[in-house]
Amino acid sequence: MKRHLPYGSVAMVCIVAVLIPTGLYTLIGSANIRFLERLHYLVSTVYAITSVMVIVEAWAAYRRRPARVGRDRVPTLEVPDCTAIVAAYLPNEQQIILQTVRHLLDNLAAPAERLQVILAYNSPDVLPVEATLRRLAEEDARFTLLRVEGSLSKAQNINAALAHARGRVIAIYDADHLPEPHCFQKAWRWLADGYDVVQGRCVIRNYADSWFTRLIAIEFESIYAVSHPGRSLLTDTAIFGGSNGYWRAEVLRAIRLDPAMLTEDIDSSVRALIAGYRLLHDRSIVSEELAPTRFTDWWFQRQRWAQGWFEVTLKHQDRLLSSPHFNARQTLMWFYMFLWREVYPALSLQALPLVLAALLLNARIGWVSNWYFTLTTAVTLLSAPVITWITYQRTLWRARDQLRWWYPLYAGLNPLYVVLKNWVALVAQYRHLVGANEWVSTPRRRGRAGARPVAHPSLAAPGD
Amino acid sequence: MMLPLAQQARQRPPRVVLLGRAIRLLFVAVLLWAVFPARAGGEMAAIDGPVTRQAWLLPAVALATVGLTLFAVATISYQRRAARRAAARGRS
Repeated sequence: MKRHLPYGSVAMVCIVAVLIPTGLYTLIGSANIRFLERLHYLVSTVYAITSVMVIVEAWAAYRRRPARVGRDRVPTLEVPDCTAIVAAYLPNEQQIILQTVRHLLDNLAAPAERLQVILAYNSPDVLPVEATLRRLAEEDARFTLLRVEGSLSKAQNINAALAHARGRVIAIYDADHLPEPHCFQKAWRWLADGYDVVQGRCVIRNYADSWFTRLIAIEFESIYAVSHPGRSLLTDTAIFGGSNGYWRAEVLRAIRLDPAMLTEDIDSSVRALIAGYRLLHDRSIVSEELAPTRFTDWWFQRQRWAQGWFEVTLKHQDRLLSSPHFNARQTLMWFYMFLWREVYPALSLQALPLVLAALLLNARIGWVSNWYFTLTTAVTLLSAPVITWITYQRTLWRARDQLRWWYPLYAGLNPLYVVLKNWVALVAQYRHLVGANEWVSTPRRRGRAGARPVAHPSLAAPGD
Repeated sequence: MMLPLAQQARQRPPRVVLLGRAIRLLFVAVLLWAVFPARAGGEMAAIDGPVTRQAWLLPAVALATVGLTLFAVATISYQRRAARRAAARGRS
């Protein structure tokens, strides 16, 4: 079924966030031109704050060198019983699910007697792939097939799987994820050391499908190899991103996932943080996933993420900021990650009505004559090349080799990409405020590179 | 492990409380500063110069702004009502 972008919502955002403000700024500015100047200072400061944060995170991620490749890269700590839960909406993922299950059973380095793989899925119809999966479950005692009747969400699937999970460590994966063999050992290092949840690094494996998936692959490297670990290193806290996350079993059973939330992963992270549990990001725990190959799929995926973050912010912001479990630096970071993240798209977009109002009033904008604007513009323009360069330095060898020339292109296109993501965020906020909570799950398509994993030398899929 | 909210509030370290207050105060101060600017002053002039002299422009902008605002309010309330009706249908 062909889905259309929410053009109506995009038009409404244009009216509410651009056209009406343009009118208001023009009218106020006609009475007092200084108003536009103050607004200019405000918008420049908003851009500068976000850009400084981006650079600080990137610098923190850069200073901490990745572990040396060698014996010490694979921890020797013995792992306890481990359960990998794969959540799937089978109609969307029937093409790739066998590959994922076989990868987990054949490639994970956990001893056979200590590994359990649960596929918790829902489907409105009976699909041919279910017979194959049932046969696999009969042949391999480590594999549990769980059709969750009445489930409509990933959260319900995972909650149902918890009743069957035997492991002390529970990993959650989406149906397209192919984690590296030593993921449980690496996660257990932290869990044994007092942490409760470890979030690994997600990389894109179908990057070769199109120019769009190449850019998303670099974006993911930038998020998972630089921004998340940078924040984790700066503040000793992190967020569970929904997949390639490793939970202490009793903590996941206490927190569970809330099926009513659009981004049940972010919601569970925040509830865990508020309850005083400790989360950490480890970029050495790599798992490959598939990027959406069509712009429409990308839009709906990002819209759901943005609306989910907005929902979590509205629900938990107060409790998050007043939690007794955070120090001042962590409180500031969570303020930046939630409240600031939500107001940033609307505030940064005000540059457009500001310029339009100045044009209507025939007012002159001194872009270069003012040192403050010069400085904030320089910092803003610098942030994209800085984070891209550091991403290049900290990326996996595959991405460095294959995407070499795409990095400068990504740095150049980044400002436009950020504007696009801000638009998606505003559309998501608008839809949430008008009560449009229906969402579309992201279809996983086997692209040219999607059929076989190629990212990591130790990530050999069955049959490779 | 989860503490009751009232107890959490009692246990908030003073530094965090101060930080929260400072952030709120800063927000209010910046908003006041932006919305009520001085008419004149020795600021670094970033935006200046002739405010439009076309007489029709400001009434046209005012009219368009009011029209768009009314349209947005009507659309948003219609969509909210439709969403509530859909949710009620889903529950029944």
